[in-house]
Amino acid sequence: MKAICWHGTRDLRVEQVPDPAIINPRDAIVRVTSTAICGSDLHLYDGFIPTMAAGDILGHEFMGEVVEIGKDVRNLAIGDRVVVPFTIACGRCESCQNGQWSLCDNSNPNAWIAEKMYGYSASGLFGYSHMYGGYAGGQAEYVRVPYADVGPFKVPEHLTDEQVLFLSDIFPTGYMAAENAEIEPGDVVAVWGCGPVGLFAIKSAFIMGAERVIGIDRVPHRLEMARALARRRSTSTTKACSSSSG
Amino acid sequence: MGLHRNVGDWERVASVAIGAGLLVWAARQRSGRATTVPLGLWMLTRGVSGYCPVNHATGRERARDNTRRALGGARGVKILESVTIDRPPSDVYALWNDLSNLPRFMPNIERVDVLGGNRTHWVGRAPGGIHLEWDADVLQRIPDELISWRSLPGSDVATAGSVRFESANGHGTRVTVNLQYDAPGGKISTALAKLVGQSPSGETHEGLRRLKSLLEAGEIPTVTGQPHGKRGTLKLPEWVDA
Repeated sequence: MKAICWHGTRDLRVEQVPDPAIINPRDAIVRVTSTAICGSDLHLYDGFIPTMAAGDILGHEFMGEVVEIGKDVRNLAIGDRVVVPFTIACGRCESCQNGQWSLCDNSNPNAWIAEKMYGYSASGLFGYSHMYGGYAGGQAEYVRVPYADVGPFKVPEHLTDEQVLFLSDIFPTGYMAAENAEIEPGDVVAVWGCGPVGLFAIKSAFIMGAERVIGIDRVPHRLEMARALARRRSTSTTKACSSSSG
Repeated sequence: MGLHRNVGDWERVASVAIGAGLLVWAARQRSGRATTVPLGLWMLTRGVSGYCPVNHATGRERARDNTRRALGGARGVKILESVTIDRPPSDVYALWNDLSNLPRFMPNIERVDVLGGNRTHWVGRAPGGIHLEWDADVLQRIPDELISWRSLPGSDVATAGSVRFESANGHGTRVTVNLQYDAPGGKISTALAKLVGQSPSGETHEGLRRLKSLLEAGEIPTVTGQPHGKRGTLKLPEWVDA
């Protein structure tokens, strides 16, 4: 299959690599139909993340069709359309049972590296360095999904890839920002930065009942996107400001 | 046990050196070879095989044959590691009590044969890929609470230890491994291994982490065998799961 491989700072190459196979009983193999580039892929691209190795396959925002399942995956079937969260979670450790999936104890085979660097390891991640598990990512034709009975969401036929792909990482990121702000119906909310995460934070603020959202950015194109997003919402408006301080 | 070794590590090194020296010396002499050649060969064989019939006949033993002497005081490498597993003590005890399960999660244990009764035969790896074998007896088994063991004379490794299983106040089981051992190279090889990021404590910790995954998730996370592009020169060390 073809995959995007990291080879060093600002050196990514599309390479021909072997297809992934089932390794553990709770694995699935997904044929990727859509994948995205995350802002945090730039940190890998620019060489800021340690424990990368030449040949590592990138990509942690992806979705596709299940083409193979391990013997212990009972809730998915071949042919299912799924969107896959970028954090890998076993679903059974104490963290997972408390809904803290990104702190899973059992998904990072290199947890000791993260423990040495940070004192504690979080869950394994797709395509994001060996200290987060060294999992091959989804910027590829196929990807192996560990603990596939926990992470993937089945996607109904009437939704397009573009409508659900961002559930893999960036939409929850913006949503969590809004959730942390404890927005209540009628609130006026300011969102600094109207990049993709900011746009999702604006959208999430409206979902939570904000009366008005003020988007702040210095890039006119981004402000225009924020305005367009607000216009699609009939009852409220986004007031977009430009900020020279950035 | 395949081979009853009864010559100490440093004694074996010295035997090989002296034996080789004698043979080289003999090759340069015109007379006296009738004594030096057999003596050189004898020393070489004794060093390489680790077995000496004279030691056997006189009952001379190595330091590691006496566990108490090998591990007493400041001698031996000491390990104390623990992990909390979200399963009841009975489940964790049951898995560990079948000692042949240990290679499933302990990185440096290749095989454990349960020989019947309390006798077990162990095959392991020391830093640097050195292959070690030893026999051990289980000393104590308290169901759902404790298992302890001690190695027997004639082993490559002198070791004694225990694993405790305690209820963690509704959060599963606290598993604590308390282990001492003395292996070839002893503390020197342990210190060298630490330089490249390997340590006996670290490997035991890693083993306990895998045990936790096996019991909680039903499998041990790994990326060994997954695809990647050309590795080039920016490789990670071989002991990283990659």
